[in-house]
Amino acid sequence: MFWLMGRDEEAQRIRAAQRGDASAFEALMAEYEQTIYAVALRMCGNREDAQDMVQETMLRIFRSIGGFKGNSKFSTWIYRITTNVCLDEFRRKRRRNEQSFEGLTEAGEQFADDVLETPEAHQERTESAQHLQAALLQLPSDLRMAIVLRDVKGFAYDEIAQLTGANLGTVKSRISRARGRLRKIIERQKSSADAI
Amino acid sequence: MTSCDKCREMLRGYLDGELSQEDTAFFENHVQQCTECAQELTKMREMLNELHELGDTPVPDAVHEAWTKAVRAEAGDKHKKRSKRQWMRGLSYAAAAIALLFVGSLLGSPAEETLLANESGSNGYYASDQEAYNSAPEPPVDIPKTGQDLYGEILGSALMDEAAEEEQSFADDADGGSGGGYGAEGGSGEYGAQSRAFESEATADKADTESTAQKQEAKIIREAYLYFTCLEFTDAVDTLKSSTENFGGYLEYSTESGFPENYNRYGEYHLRIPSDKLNDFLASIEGIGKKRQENIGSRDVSESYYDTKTRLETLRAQYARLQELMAQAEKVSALIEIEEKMTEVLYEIESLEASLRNIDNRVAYSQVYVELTEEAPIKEPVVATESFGDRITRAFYQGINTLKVNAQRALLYLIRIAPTLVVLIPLIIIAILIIRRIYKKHKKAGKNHDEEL
Repeated sequence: MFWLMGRDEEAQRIRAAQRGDASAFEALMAEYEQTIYAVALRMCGNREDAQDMVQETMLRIFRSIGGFKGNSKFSTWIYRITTNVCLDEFRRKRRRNEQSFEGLTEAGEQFADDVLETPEAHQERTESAQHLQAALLQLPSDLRMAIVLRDVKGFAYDEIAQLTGANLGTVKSRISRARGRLRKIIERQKSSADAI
Repeated sequence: MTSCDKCREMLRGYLDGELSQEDTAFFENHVQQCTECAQELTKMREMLNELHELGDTPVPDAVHEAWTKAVRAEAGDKHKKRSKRQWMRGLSYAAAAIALLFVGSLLGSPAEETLLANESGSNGYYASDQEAYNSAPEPPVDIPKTGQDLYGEILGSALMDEAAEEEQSFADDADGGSGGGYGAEGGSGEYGAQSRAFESEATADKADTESTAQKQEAKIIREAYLYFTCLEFTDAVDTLKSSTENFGGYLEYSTESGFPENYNRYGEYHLRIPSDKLNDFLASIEGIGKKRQENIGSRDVSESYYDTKTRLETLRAQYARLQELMAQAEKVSALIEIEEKMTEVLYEIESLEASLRNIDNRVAYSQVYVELTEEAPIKEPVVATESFGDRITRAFYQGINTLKVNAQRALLYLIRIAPTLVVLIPLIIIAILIIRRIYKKHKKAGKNHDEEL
């Protein structure tokens, strides 16, 4: 699932990036770019916001890479920043729009419409993928993050616990609840579509 | 709890492969029998597969371009800021080092001043020093008569007290080799400032007050200390040595240092001059340079000398008597005892004879200590009639020379403090690194506490 560079090569690139070498940083992040984008896209539902999230994540990593001491895995450190940026963005948008996206069908459908209306997103996704994305957006952000990390990108439970700062039991509980609610949302969508 | 409820609880664990063998068997068994749970399982699996496919979305070029551009811009800013910081830091270190060097050099030691100031007349510093030197009042050589009389009375009584102490120590101490406590050899500083006129008056006073000394030859030890500065150092030394020889004296000890080209030669000469010719000798060397200091003193040791002599005669008589006793002795034990006593007495006789010879020698030959310091030739003061343009030119060259001198001082100072810097600089760098690290840690802890694991 993960294509890992040689440890020495990654360490060299990390050191170069710590010295401010932008090229080394780009080469270093090539391995992690797709995962960061996928998490951002599935969390916010549209490419524009995902692009902003990816840019913000990369900048934050570049600015703080000098403080990376190697106490944890580099990938874990990066994805921790990614989840924080995504959650921070949601909280910021929520405050700005004065609207909660948690559990509101209308908002999820509004986002779904945005996704459907993006030409490239329309090419990329099948209809079920579109519904699935719209359903994801109806989950609360903490459940959404858990299910995106686990079932979209295949992170292990202990990794998710490290990335989200929750304990293992909480992560498992969130996954269970997220899957259950997502199933119900999808069923409701199908029922609505069939009714139409 | 029904089996369906239990299966619903187990669903996540089953899908993630976390169930035990027993629970897995229970779950699969129930699903085979329960249509609703089986349907739920199927749909859940389908949903998870679809979710998994959502994760394979490729990164659009626009997204990649956007973040790489932003990072490069960030890197460029960082580099500029770092370069500027490094440049400013380097400048400030250089400025601080130069300031420190010059301040340190200006506070430099007198030895350096002497070393640099003795260059032959090419800098304004030297010229101004010479002017100050020329205009400085000469220190008085002769003490006024009234002061001299008063000082002589005080010194005279002090010398009498000293002589009394010496007599006591002489009587108590069988070993008179030290000369009865005459003090350290070459003690030129012990007598205080005194003129030659006072010295002969004090001698006359002592002769009047000492009734025993009136009937015997007075034993006076004379010492003189003189300090000259001179322009012609070599001539001064030659004159000193030739006068010493001419008056029947001899050079006991000398030491010289310095370099002719630097006009910083220094010499110290310990001379022994026949006491009856001391005054003439001192007059003969008056002109070897500028006399900066003169101390002449005398010590009357007549009483202790003759007491020693009396004691010596007594011991000789005792020795003669012991010789007679030895001739008469019959027992071996008595012979041994007498011989031991004779050895003691003989030893004491020889010590006292040596002391008397020493005093005789010191009375016969006075000790004269002469110090010579070379001074540089006096430069002619600048004539006031030079033009303003010439004065500007001269001031400019003086300024350049001053800069040169200060640069030399700075270099000398740097060399002097180099060993200290070798130790101090690493310590300062370590302290700065530690402080910066602590500051960065605090800063980053506040910013990234939720990101660092």
